[in-house]
Amino acid sequence: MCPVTRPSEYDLGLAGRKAVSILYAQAIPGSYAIEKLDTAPCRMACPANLNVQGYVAMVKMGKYREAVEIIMEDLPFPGILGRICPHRCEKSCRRLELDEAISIRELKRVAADHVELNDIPVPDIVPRNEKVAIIGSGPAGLTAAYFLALDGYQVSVYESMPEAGGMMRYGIPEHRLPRSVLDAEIDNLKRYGVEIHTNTVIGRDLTIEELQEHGAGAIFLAIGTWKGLKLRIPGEDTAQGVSDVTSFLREVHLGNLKKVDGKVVVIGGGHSALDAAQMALRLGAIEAHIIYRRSRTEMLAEPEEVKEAEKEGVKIHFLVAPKFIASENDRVTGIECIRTRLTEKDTTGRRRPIPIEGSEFFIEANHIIPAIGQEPDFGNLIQKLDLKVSKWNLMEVNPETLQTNVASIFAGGDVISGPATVIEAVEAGQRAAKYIAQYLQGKELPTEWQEEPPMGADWVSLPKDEPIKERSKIPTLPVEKRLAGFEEVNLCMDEDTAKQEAERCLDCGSCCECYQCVNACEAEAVTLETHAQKEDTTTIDVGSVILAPGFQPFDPSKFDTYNYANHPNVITSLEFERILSATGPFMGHLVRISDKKEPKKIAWFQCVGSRDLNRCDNPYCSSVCCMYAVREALIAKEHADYDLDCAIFYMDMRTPGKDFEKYYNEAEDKHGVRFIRSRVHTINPFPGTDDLEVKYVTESGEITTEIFDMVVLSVGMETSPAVVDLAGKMGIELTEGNFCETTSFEPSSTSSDGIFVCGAFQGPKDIPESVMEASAAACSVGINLASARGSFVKEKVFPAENDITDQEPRIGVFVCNCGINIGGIADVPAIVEYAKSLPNIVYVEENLFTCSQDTQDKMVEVIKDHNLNRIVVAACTPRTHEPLFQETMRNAGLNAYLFDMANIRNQCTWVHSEDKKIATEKSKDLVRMSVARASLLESIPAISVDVNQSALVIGGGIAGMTAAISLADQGFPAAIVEKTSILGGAARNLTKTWKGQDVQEYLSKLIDKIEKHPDIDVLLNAEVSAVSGFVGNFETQISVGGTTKNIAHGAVIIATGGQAVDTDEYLYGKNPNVTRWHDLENDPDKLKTAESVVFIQCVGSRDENRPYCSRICCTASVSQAISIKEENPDTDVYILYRDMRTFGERETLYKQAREKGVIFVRYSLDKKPTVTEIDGGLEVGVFDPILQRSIMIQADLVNLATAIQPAENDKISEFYKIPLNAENFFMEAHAKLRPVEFATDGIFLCGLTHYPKSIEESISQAMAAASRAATVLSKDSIQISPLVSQVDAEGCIGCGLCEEVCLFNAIVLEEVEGKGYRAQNIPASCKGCGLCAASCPQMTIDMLHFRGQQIWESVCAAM
Amino acid sequence: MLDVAGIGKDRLHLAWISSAEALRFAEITTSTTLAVRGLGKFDSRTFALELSAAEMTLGSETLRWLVGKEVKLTTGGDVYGHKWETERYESVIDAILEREYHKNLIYQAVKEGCTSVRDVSKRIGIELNKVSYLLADLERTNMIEFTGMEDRKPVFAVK
Amino acid sequence: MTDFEPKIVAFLCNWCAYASADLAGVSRLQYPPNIRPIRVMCSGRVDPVVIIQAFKKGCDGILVAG
Repeated sequence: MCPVTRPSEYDLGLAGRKAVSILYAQAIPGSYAIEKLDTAPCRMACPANLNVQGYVAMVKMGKYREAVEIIMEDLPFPGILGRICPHRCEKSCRRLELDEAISIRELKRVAADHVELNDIPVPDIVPRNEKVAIIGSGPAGLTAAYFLALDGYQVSVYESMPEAGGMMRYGIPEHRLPRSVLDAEIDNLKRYGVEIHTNTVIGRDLTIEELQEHGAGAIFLAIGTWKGLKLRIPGEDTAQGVSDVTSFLREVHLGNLKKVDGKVVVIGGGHSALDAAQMALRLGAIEAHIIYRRSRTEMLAEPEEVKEAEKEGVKIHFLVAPKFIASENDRVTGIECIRTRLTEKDTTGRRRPIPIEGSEFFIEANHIIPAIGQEPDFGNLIQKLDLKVSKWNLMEVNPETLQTNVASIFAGGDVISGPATVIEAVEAGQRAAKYIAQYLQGKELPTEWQEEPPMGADWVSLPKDEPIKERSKIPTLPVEKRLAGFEEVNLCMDEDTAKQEAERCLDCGSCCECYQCVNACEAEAVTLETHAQKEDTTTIDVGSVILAPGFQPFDPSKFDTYNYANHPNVITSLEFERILSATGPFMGHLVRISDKKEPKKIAWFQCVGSRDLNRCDNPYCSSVCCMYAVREALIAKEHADYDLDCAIFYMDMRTPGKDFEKYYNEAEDKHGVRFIRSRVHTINPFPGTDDLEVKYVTESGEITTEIFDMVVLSVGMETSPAVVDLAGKMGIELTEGNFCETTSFEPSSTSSDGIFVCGAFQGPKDIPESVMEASAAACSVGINLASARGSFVKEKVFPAENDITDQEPRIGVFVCNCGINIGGIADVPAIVEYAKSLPNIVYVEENLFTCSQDTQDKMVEVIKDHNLNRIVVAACTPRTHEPLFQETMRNAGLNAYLFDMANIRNQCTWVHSEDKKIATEKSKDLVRMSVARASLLESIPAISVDVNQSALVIGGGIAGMTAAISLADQGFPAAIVEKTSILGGAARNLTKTWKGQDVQEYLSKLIDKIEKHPDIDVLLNAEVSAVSGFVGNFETQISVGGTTKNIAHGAVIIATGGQAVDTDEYLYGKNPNVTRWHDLENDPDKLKTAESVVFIQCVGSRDENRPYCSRICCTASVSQAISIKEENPDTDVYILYRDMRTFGERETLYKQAREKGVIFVRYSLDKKPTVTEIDGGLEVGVFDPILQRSIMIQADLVNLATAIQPAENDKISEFYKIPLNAENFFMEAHAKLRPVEFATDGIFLCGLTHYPKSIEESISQAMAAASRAATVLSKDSIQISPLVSQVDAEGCIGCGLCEEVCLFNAIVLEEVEGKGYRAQNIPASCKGCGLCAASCPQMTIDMLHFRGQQIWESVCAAM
Repeated sequence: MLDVAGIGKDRLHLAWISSAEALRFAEITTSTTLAVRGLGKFDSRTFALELSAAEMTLGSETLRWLVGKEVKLTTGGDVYGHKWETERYESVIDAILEREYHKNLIYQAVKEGCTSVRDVSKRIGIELNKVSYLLADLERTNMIEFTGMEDRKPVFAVK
Repeated sequence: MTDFEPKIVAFLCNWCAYASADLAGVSRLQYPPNIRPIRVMCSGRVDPVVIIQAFKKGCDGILVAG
């Protein structure tokens, strides 16, 4: 419906969306919004404020009637203005910035010419008693009459001439405005109730007083300017053959003047001068001259009209002024003229004409028509009324209200302004109608001019790639045909041309307010009121604020070497994501933009807008680009069913996230993605093709070029200016890179109390860390607002549930049209009829929107009235809508599980929209299957279990302690189980964090707090020895120094930690000067005497045995190297690395280290460094890939960054049935979205046991784990899904296979008195997967709500 | 199972589709439909015997135990603590499945009215010696009984 | 046989395949109309015996998608 197409933000402009749109299909909230920008400049330029963009859009769609309706909201004369308007709108058209203005006036005419006005219904008018008399039936008078009549007033128009129309009839010649158009549009006003009395001269036939006596509560004087101004030159008064333009044209149009003999000279530069000259030619004049004292550029008439007049033979003399009129026998014989020149612009900006002495010349003429201006002809109209008239002989009125000095009399149009255009008169009419109505309603009128609020210029930006499109030419009548009569000169464009012309519109204001969507919305959700909704400001009182404003992708347009701005096949990584997406612009088909061909070779460039101070001021690493580039390359390869060549150009490949390294390795080894360590120099179009030539420098310094089909720029993250501004307003400190400043120990706290942060604004990061931080921020708020917990919660009460156990099924079916989503494709009435024929059906109904609130209310009534006990809704997906309907069921006193949905939208009408019949038939089948199943549905009672509101934390390191204290500070007691005799874990070896903060000081304070906390119990030398229970009710047995202790708790947090491994490489353990990790910084004496220190990275990481990156070692070694250099700048420090992985703002450390002279040498896995003992010292050998040769470094000390590995986790894994990955790290429930949870409820994890990470990440994750645990612990009891397995104790033989296959410890063998073992379900643990039921050899296990019989009925019904 | 029963595994499609893979869902439904369309109409009557046997087999304790134990056997180890290679597990399960299925097929054939080894063999297309060998097994598990000799041929019936 | 339209029962896991089917709808992807989906909480719920029974009942093909 919506005629306005805008670039889709979601598809990054690669595809279009409508002005009324939903962000993307799965967006939440899933509702449409209308984009309204500032009013389009064309509308603002129109004196009558016509909705230009709206009617142009309608012409574009061929909806002429709708176009006319839009026009008629602001004026009653679409066809007239479509012809004679001087179209100020076109001068402000933004198309002028590209090529030429849209031919707006002509499009209005096209619409008008295609519509019969009688076909447009008159709106319902509520009649009023008040009467209004309007004097003058020109455009001002008739417009006022139209709007007053629409308002219900009784309007009489009085016209002195024989026919209505004023100057439109007696001034504008027929060849510009055919009388048929004029007559039709004036005649149309009668349908609105306007009465027009012609041949009635007020002041002669009737007086104003008489009108008032007859009940006119208000009078509008719109009598125009009918008296021509004099030239004031000699000969003017005496001669015959001199007639002012108004009289001339009026006599012609009255039919009194049918022929003009001889030659005519018209004096003036306006429209009427042209009209008179052209008219004279049509009446037989031999010659028609116009003399104008200024030049062509000052002409008031439009240039194209001037040209047309000249084509017809009108001779225009510019810079010529009349001097006197010559006559003979009182008949005009000609006019003496003098040439003029123009002065420079004076203070009013006008150039005055000055006569040039001696340049006189004579033009022979039989008729002289002065067309230099007009004034009102008041006659006897106002004599007795004492109305104020200005010195220009114009009426004086309040400029805002048009009220005269007599309260009930208003005046407008030419009579107050002097001669002006029709559209300006229309504006006067609108204004008069508005204030006359207010006056008649007794409202107080403003006394002063009301300034409109300033309109902004926030319009759609001019599309960069908009092609030049020429303005369509208006067809005209051939010149030779014109002079013979009064046929219209301008012809109507054909529809195709009009459509093309309308398509040139840029839709400046986005929504064009055509209100087509209002008509289209059957749900009446989009109305004129909702259309008028504006943003408003509300105030919310809160105790805390969490900032999660995210990032903006870097815009690479400014890098001209990459040609992003100019070449369609250079795109950003986000644009590439859209191309790959099934919902994207190409439906997931991998093509390049320029020619939509499948690319054979794609290149990715890393670090675009990251790690770059020279060109973009972003010194940091954006952390995510390496990984997403690898992923994009792999997905691209997957999408291509041919051998796609993917190459990634990078500096360091940074894949330090959990399992990211494996992904990277697989991409290279298994899928053949090429990784090219290089610096890209330029990308240039390869001549004659749409391909791109990439010029790059390899690590060894070779310059190479390669041709690619497309190039993807891996753009980095940056904080948007709006967020920087927000931070300023909130008083939040930012880092050098404009991210939120936080400390290592409080990673989610900003510098402002009570304001917390998470996500990319805290620092560039990937999804898992963002999700963790989000939970951590929630935890901070939870602690901050612990006392207010639950204070705003309202609980809903449902009516008692009916027992339907012994009732026969009475099924109600509700079939949804979903607007047109279902009803537009499938035959809903046929489905309804079909449903009625199914067994057990009592009631069937069709809804426009079954999910609407009113339908829910009605459904409750229907269920009660018809005593229904099962409900089937045939609509959309139960995944989104089942809970809504289940609530309705409960409101109607039915159990929530007596409900089923047939997904006829997602599974029928949306996916078989091309075949309506098939969609209908399949819908019927789905309804039948659903009804069959519904007959067997049964009430399932809700299950709730009490919660033990305390937690067990396993591990007493920083993560464990943080988790415990985060819970305890929220009021949930926690017990820490620590296997060693001391708290602190791996952090006890650290001195400072990468941000330079003192770890030991923090640690001792934390331990102190833990030990003193009344709600924290610390068990040292303790280990878990047995576990039972489930979420909310765990019981864990702990062995503490030989004794055992049982702890009951509602949640578990696993924080068993990890440590750096030992190694036998590089002489570690053999030479005392080969150390690892923090050994070096913890031994300052050794460092003092050292002249040369070598760090070796990736010792035991990123190799076959440990195919993961330990994530923190690069930062640790670089930090230490900086400290050494700061202590003694003369010490030589080398770091031998594979990829420098100082991700995020840690990159600044890497930069600092280089600046301080730390020497970085890269090595590869196949050319590892060597360490040998010589002369009591150490010699390190390494192959330098830049120099392309081996170098030998004499080292006093060698420090190894050995791998981080998790604690022994096997037992914990077994006890709680939680999975480990191949390297013994715990495996979270979802790597990205549930990073601190397990699939089993009530168990959470954090710290090094999840994956190697820094203190700040451990703290963040620990708080996240606490936050997630609090969601369990904050409840007295929890509702769990009752869709669990059910064991038939009679059939069970106690074989135990179910226990074996259950992944969740949710079914166990229990001894039953006298029967041996029988399977027993544990509802709180059961996920309802049904594996046990499908495995049971006795087939004695069934699943509630998914019973074998229920599934079977569906299968049977499907046949 | 479907292959062993001659129905053909192409009538059953298994797929793992994540919640975000709409395209994959459409592709799989398309390929499944094309594959099944290519196989033509499935006439369950001609496969009545096979289907009943297959149903019995899949419902049998032996098979269900073996399938249920897969993870334990291949990652945890059997009662002797031996871990099974996935290939070994699969070959064992294939063998047992085939044997159980053939037994059930014989059972169904006898139930249908075949009385002699020869009749059964002809009906189900399994060679004579295998039929008699499996019949003996069915007798042992009390599913089929030897009811006597007729015309020098042993006669069997469902128990 | 070209006109033959098979009846295919599809067992769809609520969390995976059923969700992807929903998304296929949202994305307006078109696919053949032959499948008759049955929602289950997990593809593990689908007992192989039911599959055989469905064939007995006359269905031409089965899709189990998790």
